[in-house]
Amino acid sequence: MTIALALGLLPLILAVCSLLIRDLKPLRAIGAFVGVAQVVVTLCVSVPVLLGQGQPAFLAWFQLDGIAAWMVGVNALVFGAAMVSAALLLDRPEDMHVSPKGARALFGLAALFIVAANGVVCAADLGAMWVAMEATTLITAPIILLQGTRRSIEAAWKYLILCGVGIAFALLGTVFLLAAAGEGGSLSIAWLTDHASGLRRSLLDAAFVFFLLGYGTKAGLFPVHNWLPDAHSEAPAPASALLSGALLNCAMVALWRIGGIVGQSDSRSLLVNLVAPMGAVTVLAAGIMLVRQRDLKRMWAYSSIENMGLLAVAVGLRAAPVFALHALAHSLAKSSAFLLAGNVIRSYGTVSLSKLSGVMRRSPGLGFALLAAGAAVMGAPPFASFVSEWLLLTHAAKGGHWGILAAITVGLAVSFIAVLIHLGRITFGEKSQRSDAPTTTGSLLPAVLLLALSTALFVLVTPTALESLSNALSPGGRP
Amino acid sequence: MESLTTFQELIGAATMASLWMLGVMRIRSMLWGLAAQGAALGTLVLVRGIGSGAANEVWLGVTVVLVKAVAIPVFLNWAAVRLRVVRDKGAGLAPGVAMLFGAALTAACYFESEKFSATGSSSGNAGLAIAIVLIGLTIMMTRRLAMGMLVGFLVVDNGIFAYVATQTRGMPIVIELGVLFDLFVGVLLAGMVLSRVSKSFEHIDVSEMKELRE
Repeated sequence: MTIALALGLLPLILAVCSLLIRDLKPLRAIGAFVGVAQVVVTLCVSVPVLLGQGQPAFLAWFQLDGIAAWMVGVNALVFGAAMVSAALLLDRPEDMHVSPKGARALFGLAALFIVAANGVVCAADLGAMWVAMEATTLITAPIILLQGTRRSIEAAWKYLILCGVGIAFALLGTVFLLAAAGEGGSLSIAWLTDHASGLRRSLLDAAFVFFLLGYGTKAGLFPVHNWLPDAHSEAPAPASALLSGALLNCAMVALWRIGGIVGQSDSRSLLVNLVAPMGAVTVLAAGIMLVRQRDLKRMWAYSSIENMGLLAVAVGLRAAPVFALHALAHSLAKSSAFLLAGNVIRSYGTVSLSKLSGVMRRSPGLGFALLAAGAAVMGAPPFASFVSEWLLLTHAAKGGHWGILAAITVGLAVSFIAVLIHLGRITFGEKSQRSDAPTTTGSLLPAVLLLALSTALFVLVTPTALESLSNALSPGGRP
Repeated sequence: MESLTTFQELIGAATMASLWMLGVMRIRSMLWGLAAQGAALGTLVLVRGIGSGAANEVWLGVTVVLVKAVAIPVFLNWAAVRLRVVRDKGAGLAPGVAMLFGAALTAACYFESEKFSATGSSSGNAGLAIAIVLIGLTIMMTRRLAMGMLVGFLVVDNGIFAYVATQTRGMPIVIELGVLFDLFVGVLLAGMVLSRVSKSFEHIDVSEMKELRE
């Protein structure tokens, strides 16, 4: 109960405040405060579980086991950075293309979203997981609408209907699994894992395919990724950071948990033969699509698709520490990248790659930060994603999955070059025409802190650390 | 035994309703079909609840009727009047052909029912539920107006509900209500997005929404 309060109370207070307080200034302060406090409170709850000092806790349909503890931590970090960043960026909402009312809604919806996202990662029951997952869709759809342009309205509709159908497939998967469990069966993840070999095979297979399609849509796996670039590019920047850093992870955690059930059953070959190749193809396809991007935020969005592909490979190969580490590394890097894109919008009024250039000359801080974020996103040292991607590649090589290894390597190389060229073009080169509002270095701070954290993680990940992480994440969460 | 036949009649009625929705293009007619389907499914749970004396199921049945057969269709009708949409022009298959296709789909699913059934029973219920899902997807694919797509989506959801009701002993009631609540909020939200769409695009024709095509 205390844990549920710890994970949900502060954001709910912020959501209520956003309804009651009409003035944006105090609301921004409250938002920033709640963001930081949420990080502290969440880590207080989740770190003991990860260190094995506390038993995993249960509350009705929810649990805080190793993986949940890890992911609520990731959610909180992204939320904290997004809220502080929103508070700093929205001093003049019109610079961010939202109305003052929209800015208030942004705080409220983001807060509600993080509660739902924590619900997804903590769900101990597939039904509860579905309800929380659908809630994340419903809460984030209005955020995409906030800019109010035709493009954002179309993106919101597309998001709602595509993810709606996706999530309906996931519901079908859920009920197939319930049917596969037969008389006396339940949707509790622990029960299903224990009884995995007794599940009716044909229904289990069908259920898994529907789960993969359904939650895969939400995660943006190729070929059901269409909604993602539109939604990410049309949402206000702090919301894009949340979508990419927290929402996509939720869907991947859902797949991870279902993969855990399937891994115990007779259908376990589906993981290596279906999920991992789908992930590898996603990496490759996203890499190729990254080449012809013309918009900074769309570029980050495609890179998110690519990283979800990597996570799907980790799900397929059941590499728990790699999965957790890459989820964190990607969330840190990508949230930071989207928050920096918000700074770009505020200073230059556009994120079009062809209109931007010479960011480095106009505002060196922003330019450096963008390059660093690009390196972190693409998995270059000294950032955590380098370690996690390297671990994933070695894991695939050890298992002898050469096709997957080749596809990921090519995809990563292509996207690395593409992002490097796009970023190089906008950071270096001539000064561009428009820069009305000078960048205040303060608003870069949350993004830079996330990157610093990623670097710290790069140093901290040692074989011993990985070993204990792997223990903490093992089913049951006890080391 | 008697309750079993009622069961199959109700799920048959729900399937018929989805076939009807596949063939009609007037939004109002589609909504009548949706209401009928929701009522059939709600009654199904209600009948089972009364038969077994389970108070949970009775309440769930009543809620389902209220949400799926009354609240959602009434709201969508109100939205359709406000958006001034009367009929869908359709895309892809002509209504008659689509209906034939749906009928063939239903027959195929009915005879292959054991494959979808939890217990391997050949009663056909599981097949009919899956047929509703597939018809719902077909409705989504053969409509041009966003409103028609939304109705198709709701039919898919009804099909899933039919599967839960006939093949399993049901999800925990709280989860079931959570699903219903999510669905209802989703419809409200879709209505809101649609009114924004119609305001800025001056239509809700999905095939004409091209701002984001690259």
